[in-house]
Amino acid sequence: MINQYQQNFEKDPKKLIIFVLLGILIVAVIVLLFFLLSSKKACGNGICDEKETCSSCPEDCGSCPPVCGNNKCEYGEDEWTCCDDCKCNIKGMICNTSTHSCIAPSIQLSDQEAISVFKEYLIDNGADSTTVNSKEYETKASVYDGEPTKTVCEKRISVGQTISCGEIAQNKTVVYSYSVR
Amino acid sequence: MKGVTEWIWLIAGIVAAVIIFTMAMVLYQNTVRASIEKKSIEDFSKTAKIINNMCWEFEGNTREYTLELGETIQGIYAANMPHDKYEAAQLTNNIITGQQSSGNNLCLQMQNKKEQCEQLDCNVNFPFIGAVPEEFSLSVLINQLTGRGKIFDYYLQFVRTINPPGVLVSLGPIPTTTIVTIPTTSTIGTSTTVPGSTTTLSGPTTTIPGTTTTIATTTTLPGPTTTTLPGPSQAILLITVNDVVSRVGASLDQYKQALSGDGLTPILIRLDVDSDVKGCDAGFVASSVPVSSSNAQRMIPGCITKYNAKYVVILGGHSYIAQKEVPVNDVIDEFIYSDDWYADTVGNDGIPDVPIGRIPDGINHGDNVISDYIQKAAIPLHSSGWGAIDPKYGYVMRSSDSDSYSWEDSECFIYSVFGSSCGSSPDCKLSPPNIGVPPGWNTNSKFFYLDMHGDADGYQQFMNDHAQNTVGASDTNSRNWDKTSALIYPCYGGRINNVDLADSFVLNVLDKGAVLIIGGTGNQLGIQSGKYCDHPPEGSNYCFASNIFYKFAKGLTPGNRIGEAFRASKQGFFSECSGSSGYKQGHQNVFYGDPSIGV
Repeated sequence: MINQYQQNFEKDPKKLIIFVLLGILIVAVIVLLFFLLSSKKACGNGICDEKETCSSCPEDCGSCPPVCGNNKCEYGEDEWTCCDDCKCNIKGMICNTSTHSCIAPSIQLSDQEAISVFKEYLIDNGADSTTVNSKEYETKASVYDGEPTKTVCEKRISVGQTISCGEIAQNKTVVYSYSVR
Repeated sequence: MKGVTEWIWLIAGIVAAVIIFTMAMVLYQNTVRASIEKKSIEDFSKTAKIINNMCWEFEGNTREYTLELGETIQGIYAANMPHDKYEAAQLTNNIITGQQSSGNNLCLQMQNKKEQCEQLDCNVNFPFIGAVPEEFSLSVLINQLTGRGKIFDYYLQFVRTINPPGVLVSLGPIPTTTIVTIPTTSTIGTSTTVPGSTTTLSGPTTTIPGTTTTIATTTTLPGPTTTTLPGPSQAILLITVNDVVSRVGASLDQYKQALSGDGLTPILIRLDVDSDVKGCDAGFVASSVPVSSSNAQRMIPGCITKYNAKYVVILGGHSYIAQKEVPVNDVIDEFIYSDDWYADTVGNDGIPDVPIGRIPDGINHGDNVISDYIQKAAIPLHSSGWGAIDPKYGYVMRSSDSDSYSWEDSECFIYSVFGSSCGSSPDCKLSPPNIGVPPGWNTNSKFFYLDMHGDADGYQQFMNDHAQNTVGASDTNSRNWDKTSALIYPCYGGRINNVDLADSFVLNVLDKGAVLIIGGTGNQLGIQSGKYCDHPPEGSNYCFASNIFYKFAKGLTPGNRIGEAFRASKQGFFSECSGSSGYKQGHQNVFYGDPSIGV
């Protein structure tokens, strides 16, 4: 039997090469199947083995930590930690891609101009002008109804003091006013 | 030469055959081993499920179950703390000597794997079970080679007990087992036979799969009584950490029972326990307490999604699970604090999609607030429901000394909910002229509304421009808060984040049995125009807490649960208020209490 094969191979060495290659191929397929099946079995058994990771087997190991900048707003990310991926929920705010946090866009209105507009508004609405002018004020960029504004508030000097605030738009109008308890 | 070539071919052929055979064997061995291991893990999970189901059943109910454990299962046992690990030898000894273990975790220890524990809904007394290593024999070798190993069958009996409370699990009388021998020829030509006889065993039975067929006649125990809970069951997540569970003690089990009796399915999730958070998709367990807000934000929404939870209660204050620090960075506050993001599962908009509440407990607070709240408010109200919101009581500061009106947005709220303005309603007092605590303060009103100035340094100091310290800590302590809902308008009235502060308004009021508190964690905004209001406090000009409170009060209708009313009020508020100040007001008003209590 063996002699017969040997004679065949001696007559046609191509057959030998094909035979060897076929053998290598079979062994390679078996090895491949072995690794594929064994790794498949480990993933999904409810235990995060040492060889498994969040990317190779999220079923056992849980999902990977969120990555800021992958265009997916994942659990743990929000407008304050990764506005690159998550939208700004305050209408009118924009994403600062260097801090990854949403911010109110600045407007072409100086702090002094905004304070003057607000003081005028208070006096027009019945406040005593001497009192209004004697107070100090603070400002901050803000948004109201989707439009960029500048918030102006009186400086609070004692606990429990009511202070007035207003949202000043770029066209120098007070679009919203309120008090702070 | 020809002969040598022949021999080379022959040896090469044999080597190739051996390699291929070995590989095939290894492949087969791994497949069989993995499937047996998987079956063992499934049986372990099923055992934990049986125990959990029995936790909510009546005393005396019984179950039985047969586990099949592969040889890689070193042991299954109960433990008080997850990750209580035993040495393999110690486990074997405990199994052989028939030791019992107890605790509220069921743990599985496997070869070369991290132990995994499932948290149980009650305490369990459980026998040590697992694979016991065998001495070397030919059959053991064959089984090792084929990857089958031994299968250890354990027949378990479960009994619900009240004294001690929990489930008692014991190795039941092994059912009469008939082992039918089917001789089989192994691949390497060795015939393996297990003596066929009728055997009554007193320990784990051993079966060699493929070689013998086990036909088990199961002993039938008195039929288990099934318990039907009222109505469709809805999952409620109790989010906490291990320290809180120890601190709250037995009240937690009673709380879970009360929730079950109210048609809910309580699921305890300790963010610092691996087995609890597994599957919540966060991919990690909180390694330290307090759990940071960024970790909580990654873990809790995943848990809500996993369990399709309808309600979430955070058990523990800022010292255990931090509230989210939201950088509003406006003129008045750098940050506010909120739990909203933890219940945001849809849209990443920070708006809660399921009702979320928090029962806080400061590390520095002397009383066990969570336990007291559970006993005084949660348990009684889950069996009876809260009831109507009457009688009501309000205490509101005026706009100025000379003004007989209160703050306009509060006036709108009072007018819409109380039926008349604060000045003319017998249930609402204006301050001043009522310097100090006004008459009616001590009523046991079910619905309480307070509009004052608050203090960032002392969360129980409520005052106004005209009379400092109108409401102080001693007044808060002396008031009857039993079954009250408190809507607190003062700045910082809902703040709990200062761990150095031994006390806070929220802690004190919940400790005294209030149903819930809604209060701001930063400065509250409003309008003080000094005019009566005859319309509800809603619309784009009223992006203040009074708008949220009004919507909440409207949602307190029979059949609804209080947290659902609050969630809807926030969603309605955000649909009207899109600016920076509205955003701040919407998120900083936090719900403290159990949101699943029925109206």
